Amino acid sequence: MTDERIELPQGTLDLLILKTLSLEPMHGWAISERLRQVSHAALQVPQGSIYPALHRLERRGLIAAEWGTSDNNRKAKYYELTRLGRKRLAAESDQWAKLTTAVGLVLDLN
Amino acid sequence: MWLELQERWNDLCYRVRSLARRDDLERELHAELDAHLDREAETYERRGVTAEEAHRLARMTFGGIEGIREATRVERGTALIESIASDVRRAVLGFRASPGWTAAIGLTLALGIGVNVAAFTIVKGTLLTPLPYPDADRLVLISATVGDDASPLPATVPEYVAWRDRTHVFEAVATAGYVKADLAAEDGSAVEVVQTLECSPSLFGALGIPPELGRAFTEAETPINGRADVAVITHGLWERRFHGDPRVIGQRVRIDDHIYAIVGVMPASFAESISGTTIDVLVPLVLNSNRLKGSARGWPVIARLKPGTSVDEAQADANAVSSRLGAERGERLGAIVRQLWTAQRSNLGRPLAVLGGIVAVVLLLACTNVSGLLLARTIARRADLFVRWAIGAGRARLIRQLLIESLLLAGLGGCLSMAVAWVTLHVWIARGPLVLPAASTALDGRVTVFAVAFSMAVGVLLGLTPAAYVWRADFGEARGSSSRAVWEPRRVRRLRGVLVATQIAAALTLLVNAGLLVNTFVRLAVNPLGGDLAGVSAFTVQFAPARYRAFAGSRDGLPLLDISPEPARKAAEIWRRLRAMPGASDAAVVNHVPFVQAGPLTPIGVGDGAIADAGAPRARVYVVTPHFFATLRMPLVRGRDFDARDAPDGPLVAIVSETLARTLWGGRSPIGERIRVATDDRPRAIVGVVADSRVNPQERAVTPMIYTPLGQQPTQDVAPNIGEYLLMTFVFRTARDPLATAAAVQTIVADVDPGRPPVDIHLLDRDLSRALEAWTYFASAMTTFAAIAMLLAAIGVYGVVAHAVAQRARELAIRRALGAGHLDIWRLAFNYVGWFLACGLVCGIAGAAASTRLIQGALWGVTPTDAPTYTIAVLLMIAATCAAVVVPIRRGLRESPASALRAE
Repeated sequence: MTDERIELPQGTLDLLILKTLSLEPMHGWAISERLRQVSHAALQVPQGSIYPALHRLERRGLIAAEWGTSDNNRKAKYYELTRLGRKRLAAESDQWAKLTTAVGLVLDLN
Repeated sequence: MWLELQERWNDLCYRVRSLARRDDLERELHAELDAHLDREAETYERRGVTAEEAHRLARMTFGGIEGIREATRVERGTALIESIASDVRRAVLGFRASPGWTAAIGLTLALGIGVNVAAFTIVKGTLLTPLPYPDADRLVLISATVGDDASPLPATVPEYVAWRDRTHVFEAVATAGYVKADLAAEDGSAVEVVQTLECSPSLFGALGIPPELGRAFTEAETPINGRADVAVITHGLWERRFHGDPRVIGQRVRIDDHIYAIVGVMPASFAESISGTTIDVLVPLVLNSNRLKGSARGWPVIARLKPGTSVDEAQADANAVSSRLGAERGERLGAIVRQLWTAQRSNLGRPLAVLGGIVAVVLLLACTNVSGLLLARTIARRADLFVRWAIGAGRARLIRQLLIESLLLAGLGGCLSMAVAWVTLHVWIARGPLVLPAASTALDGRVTVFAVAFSMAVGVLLGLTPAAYVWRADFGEARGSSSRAVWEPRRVRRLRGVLVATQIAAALTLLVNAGLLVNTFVRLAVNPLGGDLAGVSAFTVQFAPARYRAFAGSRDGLPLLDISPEPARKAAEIWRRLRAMPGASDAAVVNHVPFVQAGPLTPIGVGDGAIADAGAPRARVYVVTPHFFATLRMPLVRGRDFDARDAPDGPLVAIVSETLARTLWGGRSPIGERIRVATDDRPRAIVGVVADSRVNPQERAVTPMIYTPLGQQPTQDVAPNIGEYLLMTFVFRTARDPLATAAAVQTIVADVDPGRPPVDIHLLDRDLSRALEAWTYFASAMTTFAAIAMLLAAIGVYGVVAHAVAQRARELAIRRALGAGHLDIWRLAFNYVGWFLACGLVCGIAGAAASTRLIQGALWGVTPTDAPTYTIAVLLMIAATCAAVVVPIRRGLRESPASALRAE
C-alpha cells in the first residue's frame, strides 16, 4: 500500500464498473483486476467493495447477471451491461467530463 | 427523467424478487465471493506462496468479508425487511413462552378495540352513509317556525301549499302523512291493517325513486275535493300479499271501504329509506278545501333543490314565503330549510356521543392496563435488552423490537376485536333503544379497514411507554448492579402512577354515570302509578273514520262532523259481552290507557261560564265506561263511579282526579260542582273524585285528570278531534292466565263488528315494563361497563402495588429488621398509593361532572350533580383501591425479614 493511492469519490465506483463492463461481460474478480490494471494501481478500491456496488447496479437494472462457466470450467457469475446501463454510462461519463473540466478551470490546471 | 423512472421500477421489482428468493441469493453470494477469493489466491500461488498464505493474502486484499456480505445484502434492498422479520420471530417466540400474559393482553385489547369498531360501524352506518336517493345532497326538509321560537316544527297544509306554489328554488316540494287503514280485497274479504302513506305525487320526483313496476300516480289523479282512486304498493306488501305477482298492476283493492286500483310497486329500497316505519300502501294526498284551511302541524315537507341552488338561498326564499303567508293570516311564521340528511340525523348526536364516550373510556382502560403490563415486562427484561445493546444493537433497534411486539399484540387484539364488535352490535346495541337502519350494523370492508388502522394506532401508542423507557434507560446502571437489586427508576414509578390514576379517573366517571342511571331506574320503578296493572289485558279497536262520519257544516272555520252513534254502540256491546265472559272479573272501555298513553291536554272551565282563551286550567280528558276504576284498581276517594244513570239522556256528569279537585276547590268537596271541557263545552256535574294516577311512569308532576262517561259524548265535533271518538281500548281483568281468554275475546269482537281483522291483545303491565325498558337498558349497560372499569382499575392498582412490593422487598425487610412495625409499612404503602388515588379521584369527579350532561336526557328524578351518587361512587372506588393494596402488602408482610434478605 503506497501513499500515492487515492480514495474514490462517492459514486464513481459505479461509473468505473459500468465503463469496465462496456467492453465485455465479466465476473467480479476480473472486474477488480481490470480496475487495478487500468488505473495502474493508483485507485484504492478494496476488492470486496465492488460486490455491493455490483448488486446495487443490478438492482437498478443497469447490469444483468448470469451464471456461466469460465476458463478451466469453473462456475462464475458474469455481469453484462444492459441497454439502460449503456444509457446511464453515456449520461454519467458526460457529466463526469463536464465536472472535471469545470473543476479544472476553477483550479486553473488546464 | 425517463431513465430515473425506469431505474426506480427495476429497483422495486428487484427488491420484491430478492425477498422471494432470499435463500437462493444468499447461496449465490457465498459462491460468488468464494470464487473471487479462490481466483485471487491462485494469483498469489502462481507467485510461489503456499496455498494457506495465498488464501490469507487474498482475504486481506478483499477486505472484511462479513462486512462486504452485509453491505451486499443491504444493496439487495431487503435488509430492513429481513431484520424486521427476525424481530417478529423473536417477538412471537417471546409470546409463546408466556401464553397467559399474551392472552390477557390480546383479550383486553380485543375488548378495547372491539367496542370502538362497533361504534365506528354505527357512525359509518348513520353519519357516513349518504341517503339512498340520487343526488341526495339536493334533498332538504322544510320546517316551520312560529313566533319567536326558532325550533323547527312540522308544517301545516297552507304552509306546504305556499312553499310549493310560491317559491322558486325547488324542483319539487312534497309532503306525506302516515295513516293506518284496513286493506281488503275488492269484495271486502281478507282484511288486514296496513300502514298507508298519504303523499303528494311530487314525492316520487322529489326523492328520485321511480316504481319498480307500473307507474307512480300523478297530480291529475289527486282531484281537489274529490277522491283519489289509485294506489301504489310497496315491495314488502307486494311480496307478502300478492306473492310478487306482476299482474297486481290494475288489480282493485278496498282501503277503508273505498276502491283503489293498484298502478305501481315501489322497490324495496324505498321502504328501507323512509325513517323506521314500514309502509305498505301509498295513496294520493287529496287536499280538499277543509285540509287547505287546516291548522294542524303534522306535515313533514321534503323538497328537492334545483341544481346549483344552495340551502341558504332556499332558506331565504322559503322564509320570505312563510313571512308573507303569516302576514296574510295575522301570524308570525318562518321557515327552516335543512338538508334532509342533517335533519334526519340531528337526533342521533347525543346517543352517539354517549356511545363514543363509553367506548373511549373502555379503550383508555384497556390501553392503560396493557401499557402497565408491557412496561413491567420491559423492566423485567432490561438485562436482556442491555446485552443486546452491548453487542451493538442501537437504542433505535431495541425500540423497533418493542414497537413490533406491541404492534403484534394490537394485531392479535384487532383480529379478536371483530368478534367483540359483532357481539356488541348484535347483542348489546340491537337490544337498545337506538333505532338504527339494518345496513348500519354490517361489518363490511370499510369497517375492516378501520379496525386494521385503529389496531395499528393502538399498537404504536402502546409501544410508546416501553420505548420511552428504553430511550431514557441508563444501561450503565443496569450493568453495574444485579438485575434484582435495581429499583424502578423514579420516573417509571411516576409513569405507572399516572397510568393507574387515569384508570381510577375513568372508572369513577363511569361509576357516577351508572349510579345516576340506576338511581333513575329505581325511582321510576317505585314511582306510584295510582293503579294496578297486573293481570289487566287490553286491546284496541279503531273504527275507520271514513265509515262513521258525515259533514254537518263548520265551526270556528273547521269542518264539523256528525259522530255516528254506531262505534259507541258497538263498543258498549263488546264491553257487555266481555264482562259476561267466563274468567273475566271486570272490564271497561277507555279511549286512552292511563299509565301507558296520555290523553289530550284540554282547557277546562269551572261553573257555567265560558272557558277563558288563555290561562284556563288544563286537564287530561279520558272517556270511560263504568267499572273502569275498579278494573284498574284506582281507588275512588269520594262520590260514586259512573253507572247506568249516566246515559245520553241523563244529567251530564264527570269524575275528577284528586289533584284537580284540590287545585280548583281547595279542601272543599267538589261533588255537585259544575265543570266544562273545551272539546264538549257543556257543563257537567262532578259525581266523584278518584285517586291521582300518572300518565306514564316518567311523568314528574301529576297532571289533573277528568273522566267523562262514554255514554255522554257529544254528537258533533270538528274534524281534527274526530279520531278521539273512534279509538276504543278495552281493558279487562282475568282470574286465569289472561291470554287463555284470547279466543273468546276474538269471537266477541268478530260477532259484534264482522269483517274486522283480529285484535291485538296485550298485557298492560308488560306495556309498562316496556315503557321502562330504555331505562333498564341504560342502567344495566352502564353498570356493566362501570363494573368492568372498576375491576380493570383495581387490577391496575394491584399490579403497581405488587410490583412495588416485590421491587422494595429488601428495603421493607431492612426497615422491619430495624424495628418498623406493620403499621409503618402500611403507612408507607398508603403514602405510595395515596397520591395517585387522590389525583384519580379528582380527575374522575371532574370527568363525571363533564360527562353526566350527556345522559341528562335519560335521567329522571335525579340531577346530574346528585351528591349522594358521587359520594357512593367515590367510596366504592376508594374501597376497590384499598382492596387492591391490601392483598400484595399482606403477602409481603407474611414473609419474614430474614428470608427476604437472604433471597437477595
